[in-house]
Amino acid sequence: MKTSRTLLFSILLAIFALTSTPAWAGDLKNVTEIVNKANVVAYYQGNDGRARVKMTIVDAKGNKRVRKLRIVRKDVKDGGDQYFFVYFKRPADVARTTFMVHKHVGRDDDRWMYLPALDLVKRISSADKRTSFVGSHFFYEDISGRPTNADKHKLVKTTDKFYVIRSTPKKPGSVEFKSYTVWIDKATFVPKKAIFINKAGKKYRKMEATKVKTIGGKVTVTSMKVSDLINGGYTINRMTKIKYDIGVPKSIFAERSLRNPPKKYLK
Amino acid sequence: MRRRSNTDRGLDPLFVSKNPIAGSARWFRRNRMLFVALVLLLIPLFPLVALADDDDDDDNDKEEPTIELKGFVETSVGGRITDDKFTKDELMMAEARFRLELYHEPETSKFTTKLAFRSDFVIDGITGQTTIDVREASAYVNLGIVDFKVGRQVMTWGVGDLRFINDLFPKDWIAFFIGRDTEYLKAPSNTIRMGMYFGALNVDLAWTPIFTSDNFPTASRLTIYNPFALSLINGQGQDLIQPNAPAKKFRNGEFHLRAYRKIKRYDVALYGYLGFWKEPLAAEMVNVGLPQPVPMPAFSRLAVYGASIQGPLFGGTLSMEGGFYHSLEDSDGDDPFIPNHQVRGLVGYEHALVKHMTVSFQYYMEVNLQYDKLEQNAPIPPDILDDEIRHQITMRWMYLPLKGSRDLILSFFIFYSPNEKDVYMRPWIAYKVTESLRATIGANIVIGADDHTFFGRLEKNTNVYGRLRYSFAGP
Repeated sequence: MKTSRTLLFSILLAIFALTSTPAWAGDLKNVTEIVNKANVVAYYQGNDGRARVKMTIVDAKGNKRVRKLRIVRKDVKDGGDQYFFVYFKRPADVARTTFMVHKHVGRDDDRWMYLPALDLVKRISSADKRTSFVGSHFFYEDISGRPTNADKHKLVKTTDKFYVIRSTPKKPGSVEFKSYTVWIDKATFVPKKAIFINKAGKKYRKMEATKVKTIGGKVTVTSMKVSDLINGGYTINRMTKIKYDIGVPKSIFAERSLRNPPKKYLK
Repeated sequence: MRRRSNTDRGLDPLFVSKNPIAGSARWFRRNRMLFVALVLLLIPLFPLVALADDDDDDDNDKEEPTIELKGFVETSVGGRITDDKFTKDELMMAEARFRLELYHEPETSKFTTKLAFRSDFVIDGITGQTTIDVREASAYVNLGIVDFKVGRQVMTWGVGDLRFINDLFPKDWIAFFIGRDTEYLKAPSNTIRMGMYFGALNVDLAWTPIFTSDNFPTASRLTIYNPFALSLINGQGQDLIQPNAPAKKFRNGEFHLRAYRKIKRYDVALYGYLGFWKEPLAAEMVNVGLPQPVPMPAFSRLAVYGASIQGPLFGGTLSMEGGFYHSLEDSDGDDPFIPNHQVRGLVGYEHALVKHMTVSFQYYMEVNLQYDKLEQNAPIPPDILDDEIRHQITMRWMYLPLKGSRDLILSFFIFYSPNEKDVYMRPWIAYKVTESLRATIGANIVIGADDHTFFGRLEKNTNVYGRLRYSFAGP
């Protein structure tokens, strides 16, 4: 009798401990802690991972373009450097093109592209990370993550569901925005929404996490939308076949893989 | 030997436009080309009907098919816009291509194996021939720290932008000058390639058993300068420059070597090459039935040793490459019929100018060594002899005005040599009409003060072209 009560207590305790909702712990006050947690949830889940990505780009006139790609990622350190490898499937004319990024926090990334028809490995300049990713409304930085220390963050409001944080760039000359406001889910630390204000003080860009799932025990944004609030048009980024911790070796993030992509990790 | 000089041309009856028969023959010939061109232009539109765009399907979650498939159907038409009195032909390109690519990766074996096939079926309106241009038919196997790729393939290395120093794989300069897609500048060869990956150093070794030269201008399509005739020439469909290829012997194969690694953030490589000059820059005396043997272009042996480095600098990309061209058959530099040793080098820098607009500059130089001996022994007049040092500056400007989307690409590339006083410009615009259909228009503009310089010799071929390409891919 005593044993089973102990067991029941243990199970309850375990369930309690596993619940990620820290509601009972009270709201966080430290903005850096919130921002860093959100950054890890959004960009560093697991030690590595892969996904199929479908981007639907819709311009202001309603014209639609589709990009499909496979992506594999490996973290060097949570919140720090990362490796990315991208294999394009669509559009047809760029199918089989590969792209590799060695992301560095605090300095420019290293990027390479491989054009299979020419057998050409090309180094890509990467100083400006706020340029469009494959013609979509996403910037390179939206895909790989903006360094948290690039902005000054201020916790402006804590609602029952969100931490609302306003961020202003430390180097205003290097970006096109004046500030942005992020709504971070208090329970999961998923950034649910971000609204960007341009230099003229107008809202011009909105990012939303439109679908969030738990995959392999990890909170994952599976659908993201970026909207152009001034000209119209948007891009939806849908991720499927997500898998974490598949044991991606560091060695695949090299020129050899650009020429001969490791299909095993790009399923 | 067939060789027409400037004065021969003046006597050619087809060039006397007052002759009514010749005039109508020419009219017919030109309009037949136009007719062929129009028919070819329509071909890419057929798949629009046959295949629906797959924008909407949600096949992103499906299992991979065992064979990956892609390709395109395209038509290109282009022609010279100069007053070229060396040829009757204005059209230089009127062709349809059907590209098929198949890739298979069997999952049975312990080692990753890949099979690749990439080929064009070409209907060439200029030559009147239907040909199959196999660009890749290869097998790849990954054995861990070593991998092999065997068969027909296209290879590229080095860091120059449309300037190649240590990349001695075959190039197709004719395709480049007449306005085919840049892809066709790189020609395939039948090669055994081995890669070795030791972590600290990677090594690539390529052996092409049968020497594969560049596809250099032979005066069939392109009007070029012939230094022996001291004139521009065009065979109008006939190759006037037809060097003998080296005999198919083991010792006449090509060896290419590259050892490379990353040092900090820089890609560093060393290169080696053993084979022949890729263009017939040498000359041999050939008996063609004339009282005296005449000099004919020929290939001579070459070794190249070089190095390159590429990496980030001030938010852009810096590239440097150099190579020593060791002309193996003329160590002393005094053989008038064999090219001298050369040192070639380049420095390039690429940077984004504004959003979605990149500009890159490159300085390239070519130094002819033992130049005094070259001057003394050259069989051609000194005024058409290459300078001791050829300087060249290139600039590439590329702009994606639709917010970085490749749906609209504006591109401009220029080569300029201050000492040879020649300029070669490659402007083009590509627009995606639909996700699958891309229209391209462009031009190849050559201006030279002299007929004998590197680009000046091609001045008469200034052309404009247009292309429609419909691309498709399997799931």
